[in-house]
Amino acid sequence: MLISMKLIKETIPNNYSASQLAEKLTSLGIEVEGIRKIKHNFKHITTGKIENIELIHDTKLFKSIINTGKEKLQIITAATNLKTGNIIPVALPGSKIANGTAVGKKNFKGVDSHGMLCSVSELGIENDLVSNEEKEGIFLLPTDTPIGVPFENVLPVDDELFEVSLLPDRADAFYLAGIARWVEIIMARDENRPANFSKIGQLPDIQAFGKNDVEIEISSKDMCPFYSGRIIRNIYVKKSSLNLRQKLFLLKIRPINNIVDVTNYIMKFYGQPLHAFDFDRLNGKIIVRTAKVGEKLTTLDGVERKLNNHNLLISDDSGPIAIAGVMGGEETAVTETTKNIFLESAYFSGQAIAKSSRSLGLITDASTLYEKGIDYKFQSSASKLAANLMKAEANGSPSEERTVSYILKKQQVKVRYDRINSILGEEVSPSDVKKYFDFEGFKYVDQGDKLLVNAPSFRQDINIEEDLIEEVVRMKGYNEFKEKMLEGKIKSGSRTEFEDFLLRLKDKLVALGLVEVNTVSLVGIPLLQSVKFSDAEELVELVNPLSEEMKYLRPTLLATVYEVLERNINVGVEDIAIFEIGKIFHKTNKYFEKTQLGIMLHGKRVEENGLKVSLKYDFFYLKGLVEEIFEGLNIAVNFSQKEYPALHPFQVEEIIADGKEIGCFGRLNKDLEKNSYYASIGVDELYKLYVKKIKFIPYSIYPPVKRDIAIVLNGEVPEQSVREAIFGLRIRELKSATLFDVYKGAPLPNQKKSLAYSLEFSSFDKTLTGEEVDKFINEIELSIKEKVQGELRKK
Amino acid sequence: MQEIEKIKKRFEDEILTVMASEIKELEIKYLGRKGMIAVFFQEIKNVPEGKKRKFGQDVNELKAYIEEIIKARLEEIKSQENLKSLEKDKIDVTMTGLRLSNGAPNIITQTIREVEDIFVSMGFDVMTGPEIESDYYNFEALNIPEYHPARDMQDTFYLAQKMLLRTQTSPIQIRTMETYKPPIRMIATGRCFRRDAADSSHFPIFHQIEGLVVDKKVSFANLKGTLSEFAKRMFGKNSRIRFSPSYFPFVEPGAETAISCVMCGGKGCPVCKYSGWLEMGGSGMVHPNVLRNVSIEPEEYQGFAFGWGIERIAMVKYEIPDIRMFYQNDLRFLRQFK
Ligand SMILES: [Zn+2]
Repeated sequence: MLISMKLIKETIPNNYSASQLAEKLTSLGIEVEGIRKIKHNFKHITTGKIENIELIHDTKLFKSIINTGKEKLQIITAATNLKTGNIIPVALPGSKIANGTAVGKKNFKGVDSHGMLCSVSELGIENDLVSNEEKEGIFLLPTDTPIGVPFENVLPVDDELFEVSLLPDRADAFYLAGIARWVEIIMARDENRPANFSKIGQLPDIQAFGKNDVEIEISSKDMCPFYSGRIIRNIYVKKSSLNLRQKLFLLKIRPINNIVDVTNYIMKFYGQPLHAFDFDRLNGKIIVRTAKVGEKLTTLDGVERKLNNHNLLISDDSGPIAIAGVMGGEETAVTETTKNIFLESAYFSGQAIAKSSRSLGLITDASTLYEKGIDYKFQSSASKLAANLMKAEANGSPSEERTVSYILKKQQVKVRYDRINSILGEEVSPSDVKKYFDFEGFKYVDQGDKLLVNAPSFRQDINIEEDLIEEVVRMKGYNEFKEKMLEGKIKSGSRTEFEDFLLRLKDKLVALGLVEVNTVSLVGIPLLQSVKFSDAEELVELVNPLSEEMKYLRPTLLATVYEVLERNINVGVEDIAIFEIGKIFHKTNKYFEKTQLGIMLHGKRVEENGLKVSLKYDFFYLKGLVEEIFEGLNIAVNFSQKEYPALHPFQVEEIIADGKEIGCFGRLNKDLEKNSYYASIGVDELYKLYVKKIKFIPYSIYPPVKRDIAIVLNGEVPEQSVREAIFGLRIRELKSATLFDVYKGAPLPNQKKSLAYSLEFSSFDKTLTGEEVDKFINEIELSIKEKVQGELRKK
Repeated sequence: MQEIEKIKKRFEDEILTVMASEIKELEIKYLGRKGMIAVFFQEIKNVPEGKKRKFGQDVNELKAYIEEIIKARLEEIKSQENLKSLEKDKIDVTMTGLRLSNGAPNIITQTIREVEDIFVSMGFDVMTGPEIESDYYNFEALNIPEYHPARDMQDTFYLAQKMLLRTQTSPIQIRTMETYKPPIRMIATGRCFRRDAADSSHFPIFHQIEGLVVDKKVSFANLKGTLSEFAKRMFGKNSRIRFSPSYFPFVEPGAETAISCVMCGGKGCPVCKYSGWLEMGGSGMVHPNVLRNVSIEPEEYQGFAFGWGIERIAMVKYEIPDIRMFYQNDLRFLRQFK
């Protein structure tokens, strides 16, 4: 919102500079984000009247005689919108127009021209501050504009504009008078006196002519607690006077005609939306009611709107004539030929108008003001101000006002001194509290331990005790209060166990060399397809996504973690070891969110170097990681065969814990990034299974005995089966069996392989003898033969 | 007598010039069974009686001297030989070390952890809540009914069935107060969603830290004290906080909170746009309607609440210029925060 400093000073005379005022307003909660200084750079432009104008023979140019008050100038112009009697801006010889061009004497085809007639753009005026026809040709000034005055006195171009950004509860400041009131509060505080708002908008005395027998009926009383109607007869619809025009200019209102200009002026200056109906087009009484299904209304903008039961309507005996508080109907709108108008000034409830305007997707200046909450006592005053202006601008005769009111008397709000002190944690003296309320123009009754406060009717934000306490803070200053540490019983705080678990898991993953990423939770179908995602479970879809790429909540971490992989490869990062722990989502008859762990590996962990040491990420590196994770959490883990669309069919395993699938890992399938490995593990499941308690397990004090064996068997037999054949014997003394070599080829027959293990035996009771270990080896040999048809080769 | 001195002198000359391989020879030459010292001992009998004793002493001293020097020389030679034998192990120690690439926790995880640790040490419990929330918890219960103007402040992603992606961590306040009775000291951290177009300071996804304290006498002064203490521990002991008027329907009075600029300390610089302050988030005293919604009697209990942006905290603390960097996951970015 742009607020004119010039108009503020006119309304509330003060000596503050724009930047002082901006700072003070901001400290009170009217944030001034910036100040725009506007300074014209034209010179010697004055107003003049066209005494005579005629076409120059054989040209498209006109010769005009302009009276500038001091002299009569002959000026040649090509503009076609001029006629004798027009008052226009004249750039005198030696002057400059807005873009800096100098104006002098010229000669067109033998005819002298002394100066130049100016268009809007030559004066540097923004296009949206003039009416449509004024944009074309020379700027025609209001007919009551005096001749021979500098143009900058006609339309006050020079100004300082506050860029105001308002909080939603500052309904009282969405219009000029509202900001002016806050300036008055600032002055009152600085001068230590009560605020006096009466200087803003002195109400005129108006004489009523003629009867007002328009009946008004309100059927939705809670949506329309107050309605005022007034007839203004015998009006002339025309351009507004210079006086009104100057105000419109400062309020950034584009002029239309005197009637519309007056209603717009009252709205932008006083914050009260008004509506003028063409009285002669109304039929019978005015009814305020909600719309019925099937009703339609063509609004001022020419759009036919299907109404719904959220719409509050103004209707007459023949049907809807306006969508209350939003927009009027075209049928009853004021036109050039309107002779009599019916002026509405009403109080509609904010929520009713919000629902109504949103149900139509139609938001107007009026609906915005109603939505925020207008002054519930200002309707009659606004009607009076408008009637008076219409009398001056359009020669109209206002009738008496007719009102229907269901306004409830607003309750006084109580504020207890001890409550103020308790909420603020600091003593504020009763005299200070009263002083602060005086600054804001509140009326109150002192009851000793509390005040009963009547806030002004435009202060829709004062409803409960806490609202008044906030005003104490606002007036004393937010930073004028002490800081105090919390008191009371000290108890220790903690994280939830799950949060603790997550941090522990993250620490573990970081220790394993992984970098934690943090990807967006919103994905699109193409991305999911690119990682071959296909799941039976239903995706969670946003009703109002920002884009197709962010339309669904992610059902897996793979998609976005894969994106991170690709992006890093694209920027030249070669070695990637990342993980994410985050929420994934799906839907059945309700929404589910689960926590998942995704790990992605690509490249190598140790750089190629002169030392010929290298460590590449591969299937077994990832498997080792997975095993480490489970071991770190004390969860027994198993692996088994399963296929997943995203993973290589021959380098993949399903992860099983507690007899259930808990995740999977493997190499990415073809068409995806090469040599990349991904693991996915359900974190909620991990959390359920993990054993926090670690118990010491004793180890033998006797030296272990090591034996190396080789097992020759069919090449297709999984190594896991061999391990199972060895450990299945449950030899208590067998501590480990480490596979240290896998060999295929001569002298072994085709399809055979040799697996070499280093076995370690030890006993808690004694040092094992050679014979005892031989016995174990024999048992193992038998088991191998039986279970995997393998042949043992001993050293 | 002179003989002894002469021999000593001769030995000293020889030991300095002799090659390592000749030391043994030298030892035999002087100390051997037929060596020079042995010859002296044989000559003792020819020495006149009065000088015999002295002569014997001198020969013994010379013997000990020669033994000592030869031993020292032999040891030196041995250690040189050892060194020579290790020379095959010589490496270029100036090469850089062999390093495993290390992991790193995400900057957001680190910031959340740091923030949580500070509040946990002040007796706050950490609470969590779902990212898919109901309209009730995200808005209604927080005194933001439908059509409330404040809903426009937070553009919301909606799902079907009146569900939405939480726009703030504040619903966790409600969930906590529904579950626990006062006194309550809690914080909640987590991912939030707003339908904002991405720019250097906005992203549709971000993280928040929410705080709530409810007790009999919790005051605005306590809010200031708590946030001030947090700012000092998070941003340095010279950090100060500033409150300014603001509006959040679930607090009254409500305030915007800013910290003194970490770059200039409050003097004014481009980072703080010459204001000296950096806005961190909202705060205020819990609105009585919110307490009533969770059946806490506002006449008996009162409280404060605040909500700050995690990314904002990290951006200020680590001088990160653009919020989008948190979600680009460029390893060159992530690896900087170990
Ligand atoms: Zn700064």
